[in-house]
Amino acid sequence: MKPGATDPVNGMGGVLILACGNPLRGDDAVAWRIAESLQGLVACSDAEIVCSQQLAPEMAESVSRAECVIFVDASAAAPPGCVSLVPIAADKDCPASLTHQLNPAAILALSNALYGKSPTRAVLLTVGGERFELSEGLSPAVSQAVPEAVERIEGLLARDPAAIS
Amino acid sequence: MGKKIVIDPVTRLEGHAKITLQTDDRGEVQAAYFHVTQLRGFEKFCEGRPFYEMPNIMARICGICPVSHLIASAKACDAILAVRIPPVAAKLRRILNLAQLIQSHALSFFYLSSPDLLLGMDADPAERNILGVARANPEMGRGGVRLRQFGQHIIELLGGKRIHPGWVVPGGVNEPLASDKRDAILAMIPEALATTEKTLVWFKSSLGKFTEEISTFANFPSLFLGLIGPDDTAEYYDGKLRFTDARGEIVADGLSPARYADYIEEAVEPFTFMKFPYYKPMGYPEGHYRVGPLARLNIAQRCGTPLADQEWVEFRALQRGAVLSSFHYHYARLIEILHAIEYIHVLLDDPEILNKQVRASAAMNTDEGVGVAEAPRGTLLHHYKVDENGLMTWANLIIATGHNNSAMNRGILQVAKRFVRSEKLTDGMLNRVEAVIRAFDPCLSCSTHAIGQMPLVIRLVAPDGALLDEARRD
Repeated sequence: MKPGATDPVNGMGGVLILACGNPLRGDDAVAWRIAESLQGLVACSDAEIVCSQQLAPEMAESVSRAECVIFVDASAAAPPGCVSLVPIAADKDCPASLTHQLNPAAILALSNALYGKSPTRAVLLTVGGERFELSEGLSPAVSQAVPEAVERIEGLLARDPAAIS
Repeated sequence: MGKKIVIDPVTRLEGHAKITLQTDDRGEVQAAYFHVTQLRGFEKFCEGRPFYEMPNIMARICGICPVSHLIASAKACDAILAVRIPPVAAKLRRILNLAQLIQSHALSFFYLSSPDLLLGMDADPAERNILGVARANPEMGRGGVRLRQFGQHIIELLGGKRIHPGWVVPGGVNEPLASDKRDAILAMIPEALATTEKTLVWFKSSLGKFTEEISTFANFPSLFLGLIGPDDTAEYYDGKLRFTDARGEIVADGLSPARYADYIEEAVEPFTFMKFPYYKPMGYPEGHYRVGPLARLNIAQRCGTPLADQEWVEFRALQRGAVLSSFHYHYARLIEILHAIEYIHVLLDDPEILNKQVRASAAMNTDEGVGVAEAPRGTLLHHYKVDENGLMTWANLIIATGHNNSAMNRGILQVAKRFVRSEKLTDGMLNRVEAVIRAFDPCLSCSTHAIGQMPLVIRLVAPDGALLDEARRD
């Protein structure tokens, strides 16, 4: 699926990659850039890429149908260019102010609550960002981290346990 | 000693707000202020840009209701072109606007308000959210998700993407509807109708649990404003403006949207960036009015589709004259979803909907244009002026949430007087103060044209300005 297009509501498939970010907010676009780099790989696998600006409750339906979900996002807390991959579990205690945007753990919990299932494997890949102001294009440190992030996801798609570290 | 309570930020809203409750020496709330603390300035930075860029630029005001801005802006540009757009283009824009209403109302009802309605205003805050709804009533949660997807999917099929579609252009739309897309939408209608009807049955059966909220959630006489069709039906895309009063009587009718400045003026208050529009002949603040789902069903004599008309009759029987409690915005929202689904069906059943003549061509023919449409939250108005080269020299936007500003402030005071009774704020108190605002489903991003965050702060302050208590939700 082309980055920038919206998520398919009935997304099926073994692996669902949810790339989250705002392409007009500097390094917040890194997930979309990673998604672009994965297009070729995804075309010949059972993976599907969804690019969005935020995680919304309606994505729980697509998530519930996937065997594995990979959330990709920029991190404002991590050092610029730092790639991190961590397992995510459903969070049964979500903040009261939850609205139309959710975090990955809440999406998994919603998937369980609404559809009685969630992916057997869920991970969050983040890349530390440096600049998040209104702008297009990644900072050099974040841009240089894209190949590593892509490689880590390729490892996951190849079911390489070492990809999570 | 009197106190001031401040709620900052307010949660489950589109935007960022703060509430201050001022108490008197007896500890009773005597004043309430709803502060909208953002400003972005779309009206200013569009100056110097070509007018035909406005639909896409103005749509960026909001990620929830961009279609509404797209349509109002395109209509203002149609006026500058001085063209009458092809009939099928108007129908296609109408479908897009109704789809926007469905997805936005579904978000408001199921995601933002159903936690209060299903679990109760005093429920554990940790559970009182969409996840709590999913646990307590998964069928309702799934229905809400599917209904929102239904609206979004129509927008995506017509406009190419769900958020910020660029399909609506000055003069019409830029692509006709293909038959496979029409059929795809038609195939989704039975499920959407069934979900909405089922939710209406549940909601009506729940009203008995909210008698106190119904009586105190911005329940007072006011004027109501909205677009109206030629046969007194609720109108969402075109038509004239109508003001009615609390008795349901027409105050002003057949008003040309282009002459809005003759009857709407905006007041400013020092505690907020959001302006206070009012009905000019009655002055400020007496001329305050409400817009949106409640207002649209109050000013109309029918919806214009069979199922929604049955519901409208039942709805209007709630009260003699106009339905005054803003709690019933929720009820009206569900009826409007039903009507929108039925109306989309009617429009798609017309063979002309596939007509390929969807855009009128013209150059700039006048230097001023006004575009008005009904957004999910109420009447939306875009007014542009351009120079001889078609470059923007001035813009004025009156946003649905802004029209409701006076009513929201009065509603907060009413509910705070009823529920806030001590020096220490309880969650139930705070939630009801928030919930009265949520009933209006305000979009603060739109009303200030500012980037939205959704936190809330309530502060309790003494008459001398001393902060006595504060509650915050991020």
